[in-house]
Amino acid sequence: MKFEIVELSELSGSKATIYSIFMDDDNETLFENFMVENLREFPDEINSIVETLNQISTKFGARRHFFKENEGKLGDLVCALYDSPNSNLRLYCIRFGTTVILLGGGGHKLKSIRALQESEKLKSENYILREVSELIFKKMKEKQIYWINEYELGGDLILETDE
Amino acid sequence: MNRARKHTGVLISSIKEGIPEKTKENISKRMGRAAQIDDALRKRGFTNQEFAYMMGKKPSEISRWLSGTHNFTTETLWEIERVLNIQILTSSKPYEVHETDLKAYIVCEIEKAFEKYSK
Repeated sequence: MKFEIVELSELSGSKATIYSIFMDDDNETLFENFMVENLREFPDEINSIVETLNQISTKFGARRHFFKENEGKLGDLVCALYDSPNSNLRLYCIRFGTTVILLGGGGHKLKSIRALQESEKLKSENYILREVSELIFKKMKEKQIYWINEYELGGDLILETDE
Repeated sequence: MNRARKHTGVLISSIKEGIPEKTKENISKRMGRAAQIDDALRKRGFTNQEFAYMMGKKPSEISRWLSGTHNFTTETLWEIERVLNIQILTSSKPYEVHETDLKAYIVCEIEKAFEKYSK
């Protein structure tokens, strides 16, 4: 599998840079797929998510308390944009401090489920980000991905698994 | 120096343009309130757990308050103002924080909470 990290120009701002991922030969990023999949059924929530990201990148930064942490493996920085108990959608992301977010996908969060493994869709999206996180950290160790400044990732931003 | 490719998505642009101003304002206010409370907690050196104890709430409820998605009641905001000695509501009088009194105030509040919840 191949992942390319790209910057989402319309969502990035002076307080945080927002990235997402093209997977294999998809024409849309994981975040755009998330929006397409859920826009018809949950338009208000999609609006809310987009505006929250806009506020994060332009006003507040990616403050820790705006996210639900520990959604991935220990220390892999996979988290979810905080969703209230009565919200329907969950969006997974990787948060690098308050200045960089990498958006993945997500899905419908059924009220009946308690763990993400109970939803095939959420599990799939979450595990993609776990894999991406692992690849990023591996490349950071090898100095193939690095910080250009506190707001930007740089280097070889195309990640490939061995499969 | 290789930067990430910039991607312009038509869908994101169109959604952004279509968000009602009232929605934007409400989200901004909720997030701003959460950030203000979090800043006050950090300034006073309180953890979320300690704040939860002082407010008589579970830590998970504090997480929800700070998430930027919560709609506070006026009474809750008054209580937060009192416990953290900050002004959140514009209708409240601004607090004058006297640093020498702040420690005594905090100790007193913790003692009161301990007495109340250890029964």
